[in-house]
Amino acid sequence: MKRKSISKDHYGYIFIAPFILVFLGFALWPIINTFYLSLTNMHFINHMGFGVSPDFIWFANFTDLFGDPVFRRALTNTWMLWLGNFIPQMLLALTLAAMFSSTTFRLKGTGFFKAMYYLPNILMPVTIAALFMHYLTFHGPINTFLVSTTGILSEPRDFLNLITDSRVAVMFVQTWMWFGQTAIVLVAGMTAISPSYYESAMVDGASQVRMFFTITLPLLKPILLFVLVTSLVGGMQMFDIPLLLSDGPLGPPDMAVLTVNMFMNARRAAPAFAIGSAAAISVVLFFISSFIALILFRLFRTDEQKELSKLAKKRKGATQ
Amino acid sequence: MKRVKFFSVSVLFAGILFLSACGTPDPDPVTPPPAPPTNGAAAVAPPEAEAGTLSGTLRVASFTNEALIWATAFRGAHPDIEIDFTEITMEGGHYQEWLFNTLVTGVDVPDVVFLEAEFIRMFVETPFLADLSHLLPEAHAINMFPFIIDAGMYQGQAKAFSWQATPGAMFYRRSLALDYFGTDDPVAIQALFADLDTTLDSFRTIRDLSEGRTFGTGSANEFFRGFGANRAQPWVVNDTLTIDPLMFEFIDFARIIEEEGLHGNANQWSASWFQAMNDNLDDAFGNPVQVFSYFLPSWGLTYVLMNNVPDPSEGVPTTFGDWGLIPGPVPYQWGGTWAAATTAGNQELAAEFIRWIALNEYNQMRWATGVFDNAYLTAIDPAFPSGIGRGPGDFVSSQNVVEQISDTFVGGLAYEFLGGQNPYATFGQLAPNISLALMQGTDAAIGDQWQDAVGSYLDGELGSVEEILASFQAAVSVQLPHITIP
Repeated sequence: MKRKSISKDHYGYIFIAPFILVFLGFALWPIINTFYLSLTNMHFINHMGFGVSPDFIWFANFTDLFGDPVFRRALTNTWMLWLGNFIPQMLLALTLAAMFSSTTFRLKGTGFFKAMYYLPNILMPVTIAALFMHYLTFHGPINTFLVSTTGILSEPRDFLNLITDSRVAVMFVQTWMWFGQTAIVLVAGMTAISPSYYESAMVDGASQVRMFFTITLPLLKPILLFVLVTSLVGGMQMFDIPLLLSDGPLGPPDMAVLTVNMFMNARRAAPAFAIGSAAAISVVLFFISSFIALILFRLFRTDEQKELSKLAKKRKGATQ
Repeated sequence: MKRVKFFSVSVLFAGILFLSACGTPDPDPVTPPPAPPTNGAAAVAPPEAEAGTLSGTLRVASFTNEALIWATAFRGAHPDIEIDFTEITMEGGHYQEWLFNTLVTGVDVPDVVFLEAEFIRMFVETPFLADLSHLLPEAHAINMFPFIIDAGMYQGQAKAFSWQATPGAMFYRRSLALDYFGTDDPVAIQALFADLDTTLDSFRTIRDLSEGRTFGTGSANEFFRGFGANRAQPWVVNDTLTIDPLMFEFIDFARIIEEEGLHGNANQWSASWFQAMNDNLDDAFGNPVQVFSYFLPSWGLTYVLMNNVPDPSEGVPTTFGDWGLIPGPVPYQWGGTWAAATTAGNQELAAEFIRWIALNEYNQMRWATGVFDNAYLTAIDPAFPSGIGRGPGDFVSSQNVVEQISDTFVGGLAYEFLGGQNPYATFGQLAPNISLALMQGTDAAIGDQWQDAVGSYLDGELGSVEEILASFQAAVSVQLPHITIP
């Protein structure tokens, strides 16, 4: 008699099944459904009647959106608010990370400061919005400081009701929330760089600045790419802080901080209930994020990856 | 402008509150304690015994716990009824969205839904709510204020009723009135605020005599509801955005308030607005400033003013007792909750419930005089959450009840708060002047955008009326893509 051996090959499938099922049901299907809905005029309610049997209207939602000056304003706002927080956030985080990981400075208590800088990220956006709203109101402490303590302003300003001021406020809050997180990721990337590079550079007499630009930055490329892409994807979906700080569904004053996601939400929620249009906005966001991310991946290839793709091309050419 | 800034943020802390309190079957139904005797209570005889005639599960959905109070009290009268209660906040439109979803899909539809003034029309104008026209004679019999009935009417069908009426009024500070007008008598003060022109003149007097320390109003937006209530046409006519001439008059009025420094930069629901209620507001130089008047409806007295002004027993400086109540320059109403039956639910049981809470003089009287307090409700359902209950003072929709119980409010806490003035009597004079004929489901969204655009103009961010219009129309096109914008 032959002894039957128990095959354990299929065990792997069982182990990954929960993830695959959850992914199919809660990630892939909603994405596919969103693409479908974006091609329909699905409403909870519309001027023609009520019901859930939407008509297929192909790309009408998309042509409407690109012909809509308010949507273009929302796109511009989103980029402006994202760049306005990403650039200062990156500068701040890079400086901090370089100082934290510097072998020459050997700063003490960096753990404490890392925790402190990370703290805003733990707070809920609602809490942060309430805090800054309190600071920035007409009768708030910032006005008191600027007017009576220092005399910088002759009259208090209603910051959150002024276009430029409210935009700067959103950028500032976003920077403040995220620079600690970014700094910690960068520190992790910097400490992974082998100290031998710095040691040999020091032997050659390189300055701190020179070492930062010729050793740290190039070797940090993969980490920088990660930070850029995650921040971009998050930034394109910016929603809570501008919504809560401006306290209006459309980011008053005069839609100054209306982001694409706020636009989408206004289309989806009461009283619009225009599900098809909202889905189309999500699809546009998806393509914008994917397209920019692809460009970034290409720009941030490391030298090794470039070599590899050159080699691949050569081989391809050789076989043809 | 900042309509619900701090309020909304603080409510959002709670996120979407989804509270499903299923009434547990009670082995031996507790008889509710008898109603405490109130002056005038005897005038309304309790209706014929109806206890125990109904059974089944009543599914109620609402955006506040007020509905739970009613449902529990109803269960006291009908011990065989079980209550299935769902509460979802209306902040950010969560309740409206959930309700639409539920009604459209037809899954787990509640029997009774509570609807706020802001969105009642959105639902009344759908086929999802049952026709309750057979209850109209009862509404007329208790002399329900006509505007309460109008709000629930659609195509000749009565679809929602309310136990409540929410006339708007003007509250003012008596001590400041004495300082600047030499009297704090409501009749004399009303003469100074008889219409919008005299109101502006009186605000100017306050500004001049106080040397800029006291402001007539928190913001021009306090008047927006007054302008809105007296329009000749609604915002949307034949699916087209329409702007009533009064809305342009609001711009002019708001510009005068802004340019002449008559407002205290204390927008409704902002922290400054609440601080000024109790004289806790300082300007940027640390000097105290005061706000003379607040435009609030009947519920604003108990929920807003009395909730934010400390009781004298707390031993802190307070403006308690320093308030007066007058009709103000224009009649208006603000808020209010209606109850409606869904076509998909148990319509008979729902109609009985709505009869019990909205069309029953005895129950309206008990509601208004504070019978349904926490002790009463806990006796019916031991699991009833603590801290929820109805104190006296809510203004009700039956004119008969209002007349009968007005006198019982002499000497109460609200009476003391108003320096010896009966709020019920004043609101009773105001309510008959209100009309809700122009009410639409999109009013809140459109009105907010108009206020935002006008606010940006007052702040100098929009240069002209044309720019206000452009900004307003652009905003409306986002929230209401279906309507035509001329």
